[in-house]
Amino acid sequence: MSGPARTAGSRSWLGIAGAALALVAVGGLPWIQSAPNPLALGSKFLVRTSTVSSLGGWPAACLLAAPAAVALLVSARPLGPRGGWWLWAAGSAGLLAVWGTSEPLIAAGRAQGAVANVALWGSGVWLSLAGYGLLIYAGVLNVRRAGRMPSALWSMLWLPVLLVIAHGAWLVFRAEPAENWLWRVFQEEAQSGGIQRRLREHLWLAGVSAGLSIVIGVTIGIWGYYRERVAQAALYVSGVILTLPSLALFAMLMEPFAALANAYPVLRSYGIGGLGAAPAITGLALYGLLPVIRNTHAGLHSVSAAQVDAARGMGMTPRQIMFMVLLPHALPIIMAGVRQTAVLLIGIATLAQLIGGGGLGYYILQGINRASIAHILLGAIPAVLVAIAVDLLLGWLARWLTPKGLRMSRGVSA
Amino acid sequence: MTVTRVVRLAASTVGAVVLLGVFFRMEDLHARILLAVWPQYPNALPFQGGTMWQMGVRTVELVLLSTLLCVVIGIPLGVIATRPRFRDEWAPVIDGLVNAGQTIPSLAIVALALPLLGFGFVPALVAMVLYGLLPVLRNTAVALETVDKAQLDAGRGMGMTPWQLLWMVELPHSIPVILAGIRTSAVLNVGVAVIAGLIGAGGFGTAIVHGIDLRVPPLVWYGAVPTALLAVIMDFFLRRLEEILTPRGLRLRAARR
Repeated sequence: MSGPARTAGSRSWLGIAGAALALVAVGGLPWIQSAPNPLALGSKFLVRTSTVSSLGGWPAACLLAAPAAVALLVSARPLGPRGGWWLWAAGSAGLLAVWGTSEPLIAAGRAQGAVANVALWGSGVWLSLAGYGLLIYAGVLNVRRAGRMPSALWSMLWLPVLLVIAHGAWLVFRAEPAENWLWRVFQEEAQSGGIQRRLREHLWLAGVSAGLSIVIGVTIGIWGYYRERVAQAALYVSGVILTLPSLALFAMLMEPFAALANAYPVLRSYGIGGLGAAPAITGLALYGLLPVIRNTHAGLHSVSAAQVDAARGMGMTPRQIMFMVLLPHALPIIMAGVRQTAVLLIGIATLAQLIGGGGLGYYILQGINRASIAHILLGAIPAVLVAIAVDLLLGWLARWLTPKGLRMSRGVSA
Repeated sequence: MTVTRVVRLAASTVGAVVLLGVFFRMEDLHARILLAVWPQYPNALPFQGGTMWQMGVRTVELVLLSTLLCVVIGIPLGVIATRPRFRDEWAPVIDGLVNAGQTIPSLAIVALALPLLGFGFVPALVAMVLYGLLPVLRNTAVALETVDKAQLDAGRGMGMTPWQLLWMVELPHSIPVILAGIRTSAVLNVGVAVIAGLIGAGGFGTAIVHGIDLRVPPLVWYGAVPTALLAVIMDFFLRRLEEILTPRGLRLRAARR
């Protein structure tokens, strides 16, 4: 970022915001909501809310609020050279404390009779997690800015967040039933193999459709390199497709597939019909075209004419120029498009269940039918984690595939 | 703003509204065509959940209101986040939020509104504002960040106050990019408005969801075709708006490139 360099002496407004959020959340917002049964969670009259102090007394409240108080003191004054570390430490301590005490606090509330059978995190837990997360972010940012740290260590600063995710996974897969209803639903589905099945379906839907988008998109992009009119037409059409509401597109694709399956009943034995994965994959593949075509087009045109001339002068055939010069050069930009497509499709693939395609959308729709946050999150959290993981993996892949000569000369931007 | 620009602006607005209005009003024609294509579903139309006009008005309401709220919330936030006091810390946060927001399925945001806020129009609106806010916020921040520093210096040298710099230099320069963000947000919101049919927001989503549930293709198309048209016209109209509202100085520069 340009602009005047930040001097070591300025305040961290991000730190102030994170600390204030965490303090308010711990101090006053409902920590645990509980009800006698899952259906009663929707009723205002049957839900009981408990605050931190009512569950664990003032020691618990002090433990959870202390890191935020420290961070507030640190960030209210101009940040010193170690200020970033302080914010990071406070954020991590707070995050781990909120996370670590969540199950024991519910158990304590149950023992007092204050928490009913089905217990869910209230807004307090969510917002304090967000606040402490913001503090970690502020810490990492300011430590980086102070610039006294070897770059390999930067990513280590995210360790507390990874720790929380790992502990969450352990909670879900252990045999003992969890106190939190959220985890209990996760446990049920994980231990019966349901979530694994939905995840496989989801990866299948998104993977096949992304593969199709990439193959078709890159091909059209290469074709368009030689014929600008083709490129413009493809960009226009794929742009219009991306404008169409995804659910409307899926719904409209059901009928052609049903007609196809009626005309050729053989197709049914391959699982192709109006309901199911076939229209969903087609719709997703159409949706993912634009980023790939656009970036292939832009990438091929970003190669300098001098290099193409040099290749031609060396006696390369057009095909050699394409595969040995143009495509390797365009690769970082094409891969940026591939990443966009992959993340986009993993998100939209949740809609496939509406037309019987399966995937993680199954849980989200179940959650809508039962008005159950736990089921919605069971569908949404894996989808988000998969999207982030795929994005990171493709980022590494792009860096690994990029020719060595290019790695030094220019930064890759999305 | 010159007279021609006002006229062009009015003409495209009227054109878009009239086109959509006429299309939504011709529900008998749509019903007749769809029933002719699928004679095996004679009772599918008219749809009990509402006429095409009612559903269209509901969808347009949802999209316009949510986009308006996104603009009203997103642009000031983007301006605040790029002021010198906040810029260094908040710009990466916005980047992170936008990247994280892209990974959250729109279905999940709509779905979460149901247990948290209930059934109907307002929860759907809140979900749409949350989802559509990020493009406006990001584009505002990016546009303000990329204003030529030399021009800011020139403005400062002319004795402009920070407010004057914002109003007379930074914002006019950022108009095309901010408008592109608003367009992205509006088009996304049409998509989310359809999904919001699942939580009872009304609009074309209701017809599509019912049609899928009951396996009645004409009902699906009765909802899907006008939604698609709405999205395409919205996109087209906002693209025109970008062209018309871009300050003349910026257009000349773009042409010379």
